[in-house]
Amino acid sequence: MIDLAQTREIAIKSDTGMVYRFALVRITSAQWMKYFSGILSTSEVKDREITYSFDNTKAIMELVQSALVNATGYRLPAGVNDITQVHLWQFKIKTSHCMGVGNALLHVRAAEQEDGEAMEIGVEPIRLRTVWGATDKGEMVVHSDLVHRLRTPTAEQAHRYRRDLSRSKVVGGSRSGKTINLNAQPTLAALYDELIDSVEGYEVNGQPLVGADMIAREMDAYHKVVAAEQLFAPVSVAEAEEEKKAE
Amino acid sequence: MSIDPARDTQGMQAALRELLEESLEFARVKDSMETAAEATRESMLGSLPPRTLAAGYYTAAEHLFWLEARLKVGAALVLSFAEADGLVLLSRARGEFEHNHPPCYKCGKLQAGLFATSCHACGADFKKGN
Repeated sequence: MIDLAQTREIAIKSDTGMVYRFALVRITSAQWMKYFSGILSTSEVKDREITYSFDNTKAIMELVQSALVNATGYRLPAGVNDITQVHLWQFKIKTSHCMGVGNALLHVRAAEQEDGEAMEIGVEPIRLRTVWGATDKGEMVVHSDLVHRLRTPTAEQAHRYRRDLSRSKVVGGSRSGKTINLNAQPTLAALYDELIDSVEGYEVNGQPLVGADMIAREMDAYHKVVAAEQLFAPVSVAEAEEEKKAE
Repeated sequence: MSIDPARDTQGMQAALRELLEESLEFARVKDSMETAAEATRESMLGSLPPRTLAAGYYTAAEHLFWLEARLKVGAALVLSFAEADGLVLLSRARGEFEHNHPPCYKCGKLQAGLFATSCHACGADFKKGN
């Protein structure tokens, strides 16, 4: 069970086996939206070859630095007992450590549906798998029991998503320019709020999330985006070889 | 200065035309591609007409194709101005495309050009006033 209101702990292990632990304050929806707007996703065509690039380094660093409230495992200057006494300590954390923390925040994936689980008509259960919280040994705890039940989007809601997904701006000329894709995550988060029915695996200060309003208010925005994105992901069809007729 | 592809009329016209031409060529080589060797497949893909614009134009154009298909089956969607204008461009580009690629009177497959003498798919003869 994930308690969304509690300080979030993330542990990373260095190559030398040292464990560094980080405490992060609850990340607000506004902080996530700032992160999404900072992602730079581009594509460029040269000699018929298309090159895609994705850069979230600056955005994730800023998100982590804005959410950090404590860190342990580091050697501190003489006379200092607590890292928070170090001026601007969040900005002195090694980049690779910040990125490691960021990767843990972004580690939210769609999980397989349970075998034999029939879907309720009009409501789509989305299962997510994530890491949230750390053990005493410094290992991240995997949560694979997270369920978001979302109502099936209307054609207009699908349209809003598709429209925002297709938005971009081109810099450097229409023919040889670079395409900067504009992010559709805010739309996905908004669609989540419109479509959410119920969730499992989350709580706030020990209380279950009940009702669409409470879920929309309390749910982590990144989890909202990943869950809502699954509504529009294509489902693969089962294939079977044609049976050969006996001659 | 940046361009919003969806609002660049000339660019969108070109992207829509190129995608329509590409779909025709792709349909022509698709069957052979399924059974072709990897190297041949790559060369077939390389023979598709080149895309001459930045990728954002094609993403915006593909959205118009998606939209057009939904509207055709009666989905009630609220369009933005750019989408409405884009659908007009798509309608014009499609009309021009259909004029330039008439279907075979026998099998219905679209032809490479106006002056084909026989159908590339079924071999039907176009010279006898058909």
